[in-house]
Amino acid sequence: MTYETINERNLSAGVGELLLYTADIVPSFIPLTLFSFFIIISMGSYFSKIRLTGSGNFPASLAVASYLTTILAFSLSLIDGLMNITTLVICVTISGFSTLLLLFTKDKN
Amino acid sequence: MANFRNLIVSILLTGLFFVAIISFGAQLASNNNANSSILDSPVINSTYGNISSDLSSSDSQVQTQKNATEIDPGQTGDTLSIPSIWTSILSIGGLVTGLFNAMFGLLFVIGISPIVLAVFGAIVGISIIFWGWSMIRRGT
Repeated sequence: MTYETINERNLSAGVGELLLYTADIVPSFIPLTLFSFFIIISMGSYFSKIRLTGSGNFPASLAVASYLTTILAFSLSLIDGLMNITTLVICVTISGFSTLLLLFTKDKN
Repeated sequence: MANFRNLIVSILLTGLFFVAIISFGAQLASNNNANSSILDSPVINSTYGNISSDLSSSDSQVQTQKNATEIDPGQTGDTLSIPSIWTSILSIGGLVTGLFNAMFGLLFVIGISPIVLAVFGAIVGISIIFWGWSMIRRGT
């Protein structure tokens, strides 16, 4: 199996072309990028709050991370062919669940 | 007595958030002439429409109730506001079921088996019933 090389792409078209090339070679590139972003933001927010105030608020960290991931997913979806609708729907679903978790937990700190 | 005010506000806020984030995505795609949009998903499209109409219905019912109470607080407090309260509860109930339908519809889209979703839905439904019962019993 031969892979397409990056030289076959028109890289002067912008950084979107570079992302498209990577996503074509590795289809799970964008979902994994979004998942990494989500984990980094949620864990970073949770543990930084523990360090600053002594107690963490996991639902709030989860909600913040899911909102930011959804905004990033919406931005990436503007590039044609980079992301499919299912990935976008998963991001919106996670945002909805995290909102439910945030609003229905007793810890409002 | 159970504190239903926070519960209703939380449900309405969740619905508003859902509508806001889908509107943001659709508007962003429209403004930038994107070929695909979040509204291309049939589940998201129908969910967006249902939740929007439920929120509009809740808004009009609550506004009607507020106006009736302001005109004659004594009379409406005893009699006339009861149908209005009931329709508000029905409207908010529609919003809750719409949200749950949306969640399960989205899970179906990402490829989870309908049998697994049905079992999960039954567990969640029974849990909500017992949660509501315990909330009324304990008053919190």
